[in-house]
Amino acid sequence: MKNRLKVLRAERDWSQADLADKLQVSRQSVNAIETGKYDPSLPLAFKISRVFATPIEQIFSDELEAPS
Amino acid sequence: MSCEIPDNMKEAGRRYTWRMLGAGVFYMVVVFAAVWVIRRSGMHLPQWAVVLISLTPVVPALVMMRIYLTFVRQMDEFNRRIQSEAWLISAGVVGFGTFTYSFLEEWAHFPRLDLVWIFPALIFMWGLASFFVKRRYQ
Repeated sequence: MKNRLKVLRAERDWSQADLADKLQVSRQSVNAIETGKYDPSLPLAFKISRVFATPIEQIFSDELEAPS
Repeated sequence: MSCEIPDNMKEAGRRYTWRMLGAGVFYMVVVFAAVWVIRRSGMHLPQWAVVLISLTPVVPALVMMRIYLTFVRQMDEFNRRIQSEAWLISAGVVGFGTFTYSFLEEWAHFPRLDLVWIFPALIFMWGLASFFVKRRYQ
């Protein structure tokens, strides 16, 4: 699954640790999600969506479709 | 059991370390006490009492397992996944390893494997697997 986490984070000038803090997960988790090595669960994906105030489908997309 | 502490879990990690150390001391005291009692009066004790004393080290081991599970439940989903994968690999390697060795023991007359090594082997393989699983996600 592809995601725009890194871009959204950069737009807000947040470090991985800042985002991890807001999501209440480890920095390693944020890094693994950003690099596409780990796909978050649905509850975590919704939490990410809330933190960025961005619809989930604008953050995540499957491999066939680029995120909008 | 030791494991790397994720950066959002420093406090839980500290609690885990102290509890595990306490349980480790508890384990050593129980093992030394059991060995002392069995060596000193094992001959005069009824079999059921020896069995009961022999099982006492399991109690601190179960306490350790509970401490570890409490810690894992406090982890985020990503770190829980790393732990799960590491245990799965460990169970697979040790399970298949001992299964294979049992045929060698039985048919090729390899030396008998002491069952007491299986649990340490599981923990060792879990530690090794954790390292490689973490690297895979970096």
